Amino acid sequence: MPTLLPELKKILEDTYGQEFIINEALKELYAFVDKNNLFSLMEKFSTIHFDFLMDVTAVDYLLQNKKPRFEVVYHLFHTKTYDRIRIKVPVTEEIPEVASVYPIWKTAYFLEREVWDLYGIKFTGHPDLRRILLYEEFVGFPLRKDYYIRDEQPLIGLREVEANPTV
Amino acid sequence: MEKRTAQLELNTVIAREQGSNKNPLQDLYVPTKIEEFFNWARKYSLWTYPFVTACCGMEFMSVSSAHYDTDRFGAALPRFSPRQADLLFVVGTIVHKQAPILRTVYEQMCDPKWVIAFGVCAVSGGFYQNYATVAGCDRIIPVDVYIPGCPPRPEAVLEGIIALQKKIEQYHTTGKRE
Ligand code: SF4
Repeated sequence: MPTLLPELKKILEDTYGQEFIINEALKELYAFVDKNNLFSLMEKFSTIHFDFLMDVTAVDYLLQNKKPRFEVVYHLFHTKTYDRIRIKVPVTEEIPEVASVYPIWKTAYFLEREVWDLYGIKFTGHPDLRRILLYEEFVGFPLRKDYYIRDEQPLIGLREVEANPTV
Repeated sequence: MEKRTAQLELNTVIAREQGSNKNPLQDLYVPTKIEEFFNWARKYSLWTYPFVTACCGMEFMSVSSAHYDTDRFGAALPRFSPRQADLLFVVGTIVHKQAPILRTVYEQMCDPKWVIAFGVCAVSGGFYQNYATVAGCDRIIPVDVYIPGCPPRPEAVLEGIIALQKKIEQYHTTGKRE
């Protein structure tokens, strides 16, 4: 099937009054989107058969001093035309919240839990937002750049390690 | 001990070949100490519990397969219940979420028991020096033999098993683990 992207770009730019960029080499449409528009936009994509949510992830720009601090990134894929869409949603440090896309793509269930686990970004409307990789006792969000990487939080008392005699 | 056993076998064979009418039962007596005898039996019947968590598991499979054949050292029979095992193989990265499980498995094993740390992740955490990984499984349980390598060559693992057998020879039957 021929690519949908140029047509889609025109419609979107008319509706939202902002720029959507096409990357020809990757067959990808790419845009920064306000978090209030996110859900309606995603619903629109799903109705035109962007049926595969490939990834939900986030970026922390603390060290670059960028405002707002976080960006949540969505990757979509069209399984008939092989078109891709990448949507970035800036999220502030004070209110790290964005609407969950779980009602649209069920796979967001795990992906959003992972972003919550490691970045502490809340997805409003997610049915069960818990940690997924780390344990519940863990305090803090380790992929935030202000988390010291060697800061361990053991669940059990650890042994003192002595030098082992050779055999 | 093995020397004596080997000598005995040789004697028996020679006696049979030469049609000697020497009493073969006479050769079955091996003077030894009870401790030595137990340790000799133990070191050739290591039943292993593989605690496999990561990529080193692939190497563990190749070690225990026919090509390298740990059965030559009596350490091939895997037991998937820690209560029936004497040798715990910690194979792969141990994360903090898993640490309580590893300790429980170790505590369920009956004495005498030994532990081998397989691969740098289990030895020291390797290159995972971060919030998730335990820097060496010896911070959770006592370890007898460390096998470095990422993953270790099968030859290194066999050497580790031989080193452990040497250690078992020194083991006290009645004594506790230090
Ligand atoms: S030592 Fe290397 S091969 Fe073994 S578990 Fe660690 S990373 Fe994987």
